[in-house]
Amino acid sequence: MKTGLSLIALVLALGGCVNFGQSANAPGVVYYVLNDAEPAAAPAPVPAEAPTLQVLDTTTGGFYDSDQLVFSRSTGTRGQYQFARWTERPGRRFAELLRTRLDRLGRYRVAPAGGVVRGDLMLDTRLVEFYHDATSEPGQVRLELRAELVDLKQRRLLGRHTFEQKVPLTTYDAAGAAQASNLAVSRVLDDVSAWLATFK
Amino acid sequence: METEGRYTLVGAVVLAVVALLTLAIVWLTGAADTIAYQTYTIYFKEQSLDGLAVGSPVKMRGIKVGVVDGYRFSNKQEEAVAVTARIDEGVPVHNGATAFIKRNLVTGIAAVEITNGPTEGPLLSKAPDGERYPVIAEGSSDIDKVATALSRLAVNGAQVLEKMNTLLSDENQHAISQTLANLNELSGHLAANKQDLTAAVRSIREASDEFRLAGASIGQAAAHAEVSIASVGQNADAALKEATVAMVKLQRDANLISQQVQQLSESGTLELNSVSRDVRTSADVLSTAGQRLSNPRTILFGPDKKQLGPGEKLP
Repeated sequence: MKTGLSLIALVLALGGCVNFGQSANAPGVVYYVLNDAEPAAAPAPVPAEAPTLQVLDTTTGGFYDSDQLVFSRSTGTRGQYQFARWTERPGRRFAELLRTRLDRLGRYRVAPAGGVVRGDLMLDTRLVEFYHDATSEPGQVRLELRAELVDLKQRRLLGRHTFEQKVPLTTYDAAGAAQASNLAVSRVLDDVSAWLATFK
Repeated sequence: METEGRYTLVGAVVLAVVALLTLAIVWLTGAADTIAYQTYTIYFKEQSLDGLAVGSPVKMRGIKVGVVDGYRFSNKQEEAVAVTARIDEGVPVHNGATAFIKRNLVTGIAAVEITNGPTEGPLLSKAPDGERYPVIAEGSSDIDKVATALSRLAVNGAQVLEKMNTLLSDENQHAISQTLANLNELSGHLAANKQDLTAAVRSIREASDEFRLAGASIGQAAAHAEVSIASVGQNADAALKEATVAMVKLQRDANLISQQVQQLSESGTLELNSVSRDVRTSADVLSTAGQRLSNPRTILFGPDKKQLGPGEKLP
């Protein structure tokens, strides 16, 4: 009895070392970095009387809250690239890019939410759609972002706006989707900056 | 020749007589006089015109400057007499002029005396509406003022005399007599009870002495009380100082504790933030692993062909 149990345990232990995964011919996973296509520049000096803007982490829908690139071959369906991934989840990464862009403007003292810094304004964003629309070749990246600006001192909603960008791909693959995603993110960041400038 | 000469003489005489008659008529009606006079109307309501007649002099500062031309009862003002006066045209009568009757006390002959208005004022030349001549207002003479004052004095004197009579009436005289009798009786009683009064005064003096002694005792008691209160005050002052020191120490300790609690709270907040970030990162990792493990077939045998994305191929 004891010998039988020992044999089963040995088989299981050896089975854990066996790799049934990708064969040697399977393509490797490529990780893409979501970036702001606008060239980086030094942050502008912030005036002393500039308000403090808290930028919350961007929330996303459950399907998009993944490191896998998302595509859609037909209307109303979504799929995930199997060999292409983001280095960071799009929601978290987009918030970082947004803070960097707003810092560069020099109109606000930008701080992440949840810290000890007390803010005057709060910017809440949500990625509604962010995928490669592959209904036609090479398709386009569709990015839809909803933003809300709140006055923290008066607890009042100052404004809400939805931004949408569609950027065509250069190649019908994950690399083309990643490149177009960067461009779409950059354009939406431009739109958000312009929208914030309308609030005095 | 002689006949024609008589006719001429007769005609000349007739013409001269007619001219003389005309002049006489003009002189008699007084029309000629109007040329050299300025006519005024004076309404007298308060003063008597006794002794005044047509032709009575009209004077200004004692000098005759005109005559009374006529008078009549006015139908415009009740009980007023309108006197028409002719004043030499060269005499300036200014606005604000007044007229009063000046009467000789011996002969009783009256004249109209005019007190002129301010010399810087305009001349009185315009007749009011409904009047034929300019109107000089009625004034009052000094004698009238004296008479008025004497009249008031007489009235007041009569009232005083009447009150004196009331004061000295038979009833009051009887009451005064009774009061005097009562005073006489009172003084008699006082004289009879002189010894009693002396005793009463002595008692009052003794009472005042006792009262003074009592005041001195109260003063001494107050002095003692003051010393006691001062002692209590000193003790209370010391106690208050000690309490103040204790309160200051308590406040300092409370501030220290508050600062330490605040520091603890801030460091706790930072720690909590750090922990929550770590938890969120770990949750992301677990979520990603969970998503990978949600499809074991893909892990063991790789993705299905239908799951491949655009541009992806299986070997």
